[in-house]
Amino acid sequence: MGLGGYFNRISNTVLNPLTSTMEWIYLRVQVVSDLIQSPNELTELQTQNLKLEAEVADLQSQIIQYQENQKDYEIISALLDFATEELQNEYLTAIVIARDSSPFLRYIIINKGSDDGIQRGMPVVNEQGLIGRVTAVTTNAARIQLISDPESRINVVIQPDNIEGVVSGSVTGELSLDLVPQDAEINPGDLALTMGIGSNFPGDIVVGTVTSVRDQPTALFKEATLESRVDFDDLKIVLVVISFEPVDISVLIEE
Amino acid sequence: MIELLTATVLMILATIVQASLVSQVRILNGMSDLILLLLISWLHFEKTKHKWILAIIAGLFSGLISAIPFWVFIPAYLLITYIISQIHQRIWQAPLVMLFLSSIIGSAITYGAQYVYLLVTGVPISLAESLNLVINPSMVLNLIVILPVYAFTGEIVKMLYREEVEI
Repeated sequence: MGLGGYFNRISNTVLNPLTSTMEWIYLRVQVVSDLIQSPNELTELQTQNLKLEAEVADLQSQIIQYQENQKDYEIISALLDFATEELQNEYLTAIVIARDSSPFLRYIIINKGSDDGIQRGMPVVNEQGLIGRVTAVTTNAARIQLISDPESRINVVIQPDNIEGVVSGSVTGELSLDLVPQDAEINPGDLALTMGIGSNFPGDIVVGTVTSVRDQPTALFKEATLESRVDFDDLKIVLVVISFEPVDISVLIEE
Repeated sequence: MIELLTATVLMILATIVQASLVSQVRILNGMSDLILLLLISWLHFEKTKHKWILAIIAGLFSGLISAIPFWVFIPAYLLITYIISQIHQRIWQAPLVMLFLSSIIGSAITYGAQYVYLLVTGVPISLAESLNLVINPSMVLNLIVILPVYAFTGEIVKMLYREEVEI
């Protein structure tokens, strides 16, 4: 009889209100239960959130660390490429540890000194060009005068026409080219390389690029401004050319 | 003795921070001089002793991390010490005004001495460029940095010169 469906109408009449009531009660109980349990879950969520935030901070610091390592790797890699290309010179890698305390001067201090074979007068470079030269040495540190220092003077040759001139630094750190003959032709974009005369630097090291030329017909010499590819404010690792021994020619100069 | 030792240790710390950190923070081409500011702050506390010796030590440390020799810094710092002690005797106490005034005078003397030294040794630097791009920005930075340095020195001085309280 049951299978025949004779009870369907009766069972539906009895069970439908029952299931509806059960559903109504169940849903209300669920809501109340959620309401009671929610503070616990909230605390749990907050704890979890804190944990995740800590994890994110940790991961972010790791990313920064990796980025720093990547930068260092790129610098070292570029320096290695440079040293491999310039096989005629012998280099010593040094880390920049400090800068001069006087705002007038442009000096850096590196973590290698006479114990590592560094001598006064040795040139300092990186893969982007000339940085400066060693002016003072202790056993484990050395002071480098940057080419942007106001006291710095470098004999250069301007390519492509092999024009001679002198590059000097300034208080502002800008490089200027002077003592260029008036009839010489120099243009923005020309490259300035060390001349090698004067016994201070080996030849053919990139000093900078000419950015503008001041042509005053009444002046004795032409002047120009130079831009170095080296970012002097962001020097981290440098190469000291230890195979270059400067010659002291001051004894030959009559006073 | 302990005061002099503490002041010397502070000077060593200031020298390290100056060379490795402060020298990288520039406004235009000016930078703050932590050693000078520490000396000025130290001089502002009446209780402190060994002021003249500290001025010489500050000069030695400044010369150590600079290509400018120490004998340029020492007379400048001694002059600053003299001027600040004279100001203290003559002007009624107004710590902040005094502090800023000392910072300006100290900066002018120190950078002035450096400028004169460079000029005498044949470095071609123009006065206008030096004033606009080096000395004035350095003074502004010194005026900003002197406050935390003064507060820090004050705490050290408090620890060193504890007053006995009668009950």
